[in-house]
Amino acid sequence: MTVLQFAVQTTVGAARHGLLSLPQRGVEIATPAVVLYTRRGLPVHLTADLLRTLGPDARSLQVNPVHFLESPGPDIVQVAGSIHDLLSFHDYALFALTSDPLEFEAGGTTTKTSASFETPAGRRSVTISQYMEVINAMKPDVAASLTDEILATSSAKRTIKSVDRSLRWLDSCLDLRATGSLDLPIFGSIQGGGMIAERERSACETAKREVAGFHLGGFGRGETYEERSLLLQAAINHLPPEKPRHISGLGVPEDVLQGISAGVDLFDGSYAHRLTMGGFAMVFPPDEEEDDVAFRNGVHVALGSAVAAQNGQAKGNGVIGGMANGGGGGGRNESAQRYAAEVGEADADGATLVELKSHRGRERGRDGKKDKVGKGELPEEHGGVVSGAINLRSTAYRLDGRPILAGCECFSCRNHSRAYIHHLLNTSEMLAQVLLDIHNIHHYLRFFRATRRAISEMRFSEYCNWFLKRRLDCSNGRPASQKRFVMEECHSRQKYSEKASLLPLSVGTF
Amino acid sequence: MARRVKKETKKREKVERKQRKEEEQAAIEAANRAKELEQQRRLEKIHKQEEEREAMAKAVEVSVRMRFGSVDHRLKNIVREESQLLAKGKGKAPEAIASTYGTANESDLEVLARWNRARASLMMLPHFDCHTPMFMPVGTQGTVKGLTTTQLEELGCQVILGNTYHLENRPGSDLIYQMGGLHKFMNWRRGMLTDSGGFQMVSLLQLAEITEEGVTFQSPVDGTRMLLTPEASIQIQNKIGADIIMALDDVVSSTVTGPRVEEAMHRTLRWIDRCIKGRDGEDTFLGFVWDLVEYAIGGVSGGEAKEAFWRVVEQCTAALPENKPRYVMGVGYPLDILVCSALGADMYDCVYPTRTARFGTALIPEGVLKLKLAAMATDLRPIDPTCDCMFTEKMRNSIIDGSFPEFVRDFLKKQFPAGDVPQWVCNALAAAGIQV
Ligand SMILES: [Zn+2]
Ligand SMILES: [Zn+2]
Repeated sequence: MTVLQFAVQTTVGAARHGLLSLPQRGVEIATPAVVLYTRRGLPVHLTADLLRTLGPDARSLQVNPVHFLESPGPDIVQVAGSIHDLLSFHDYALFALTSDPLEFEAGGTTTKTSASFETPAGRRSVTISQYMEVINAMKPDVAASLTDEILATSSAKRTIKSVDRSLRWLDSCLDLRATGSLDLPIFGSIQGGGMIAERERSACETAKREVAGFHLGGFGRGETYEERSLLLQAAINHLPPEKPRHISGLGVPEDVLQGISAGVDLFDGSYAHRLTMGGFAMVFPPDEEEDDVAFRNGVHVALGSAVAAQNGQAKGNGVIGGMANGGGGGGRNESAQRYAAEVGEADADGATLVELKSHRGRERGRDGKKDKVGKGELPEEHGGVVSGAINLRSTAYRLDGRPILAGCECFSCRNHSRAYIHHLLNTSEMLAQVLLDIHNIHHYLRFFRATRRAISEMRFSEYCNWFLKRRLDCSNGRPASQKRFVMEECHSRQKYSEKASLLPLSVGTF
Repeated sequence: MARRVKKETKKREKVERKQRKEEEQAAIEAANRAKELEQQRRLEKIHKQEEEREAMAKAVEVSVRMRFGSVDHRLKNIVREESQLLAKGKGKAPEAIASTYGTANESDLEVLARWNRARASLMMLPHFDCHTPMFMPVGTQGTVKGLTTTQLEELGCQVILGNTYHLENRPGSDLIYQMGGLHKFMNWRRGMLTDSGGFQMVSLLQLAEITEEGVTFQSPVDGTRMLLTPEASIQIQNKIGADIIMALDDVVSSTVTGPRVEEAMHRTLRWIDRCIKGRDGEDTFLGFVWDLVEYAIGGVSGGEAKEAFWRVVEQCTAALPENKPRYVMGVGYPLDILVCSALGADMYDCVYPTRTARFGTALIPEGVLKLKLAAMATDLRPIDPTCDCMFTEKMRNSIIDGSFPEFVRDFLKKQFPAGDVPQWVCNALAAAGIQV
């Protein structure tokens, strides 16, 4: 018996904090939450015992049905009993979702009856009956309907076709589910590309079906920041508030905040995986309380990066910008600033920065410590400029005996230094990814926890404001070379979308 | 009319286009399948190569690198030879040589229990008190493949091995020293052993040149020529800061016979003297023995080599002092560990468990379980239903509670259900006082 209960507890504007419960699993997911990324059902670098150490927030996993088309196929999953049995994850919430921002789906030939996916065994066409055969064998806790993924820039004709198909496939999924023996909760997939009207139509029609929740597809696929806000709004306005909403493609913290602001409850976890694969560790301030601790430890040296740039030292020090991109969309720097302006109401004129600086000055004064981040003064660890993440492959960390992030409670930070992780990356030892994943997931969960607390304490817009300012802080000080880097990055992202190939992760892809 | 023709052409074109598309799709699928097959073949090849290399490495190790905590009777012969040289005014005083081969700490091993020749002991290292017999996983570059230090502790791992050669390449002993030693660098609280770096020379023999001064080799990182002297080996190991360090030995391949082997043995002894001078700190120092028994290479799994192998272990353990740990290098198959322990050896290391795991093979009481086999796909049983994953610990406990022979017989019954226990195992165990 699969039961999925969802209750919204607090709302701030469209943003909401709720509780998604799966009593049969003993799992309660406080939303907004991240559904962790897996390959073939397993977190890529973490064994089950390590996953457990990440605590109760790490109990929901995305399981991609197209990974179970073959080796192991549905027959083998069937013998095991269910996907929970096969993976021995009985007390985890397993979400069957095909969306994988790391394996862009829209590249292949989608036909009337089948969608095309990148699977571990190469590109495969998946028909609706094949899809439901896998789902029925897996018996996940939630499954999204098969959907026709497109780009935000796809033509009107293609977009309309995608919406029609996705609806037809949703109906087929619901029919086929009825023939199966389980009453599996289905998330209806909403498409509509970059067209407001189609987003509305897709949402309206999907909401009419017997679905347990919604999956918002096709985001992070080339839409601008403003477009995304409008598209999210267009769809979510037509969704019943009592059902949960999942989105994929929004992983960068700014994007996540945008999604939460629009009323999204569940996010995909591929961002953390992407960072890990690139040798990056998240170090952005997750919440206000931790911020000052981190500052005191000289981690957040945002303004210092400008100085470093002036001194021509910014290159090769493993820095990535505050507006680093992981989830998609163009013009990140610009759009995030506008977002800040929007959320922070009248703060777009740069006054925030001054205010923040003076605020920080006060904090420091109170602690009797000097602000090391003053102008013209290079912080000692400028190599570890932190806005979003640090690249531990950088030789700047060869002798850095500090943990990834001071004050972080994760296993990696409690036990290991940046220098050790740098060594592991340098020697291609797999423990590097294990330790990075532990930290990145832990940190990402912390960020989501902070957003939940902010909503429940009715100060979500203040939180967004604070968060974006702190990240913008870094991007304002971004050296020219990094602006160019952003441009290149956008360009490569476009190519990525076109070619539908997975970019090798490197400094340049975030 | 013209319109109809045009329409038909269009239709034909459409059909053709569709066909083309289908053909393309089929071609892509075929290519995918071919790629998969290719991948599989490559993996199998790598696996085979690795196994061969392992067998080779094992053969070399078994034949020329029996290492023990002290000197065996063969060394006494060497001492005698040296003293004869001394009489001719060339060698050095026998006392000096003999004292050379002791360990730093005279009572570094306390035998807690014994079953005939098998023994369960407590070995006190600066960082950890180890219970032997024990297996030491190989942590080549300051990490045991993919496992966290907590996971290693949970597995009951007491000592891990660092490879001096690899650690000196990356990240370098100076960096490790700067970061407070390898224990601190990798945050490992228990025992650690580093080798001399000499063995890696075997695999790089085409690049390495051995002279009286040391081993000259080409750096695989940047191609520069480097010299590893016995003193340098000890210095590097001191910087790494392991609990147990090893002397540099002159390595020859086991295919080599005759005067080169003799030369290597004598050189190794001279190098040990140089090592001792270079040593400092609290580490336990293991000298080691050259063994002159020559085996046929490639016959490791065959009876003859194994027969010779256990006899060497038997002779050495018989001749060695009780209070010294006895370390059989490169031995990692459970059956070999069982036999060696029955004969009184204490410590083992091998890349076998980690490597075999990488190829999807699990060690079970019945032997090995190849988890990649198709039959495994729907086998829902645990790898080993009786497993608490601790072979050496179980064996240790059986020595302590006096049930060692039962443990041995039980082990063999599972590994050889048909009763076809190899003769060398029976012989070895008979020598250890256990009837199979
Ligand atoms: Zn951490
Ligand atoms: Zn086991």
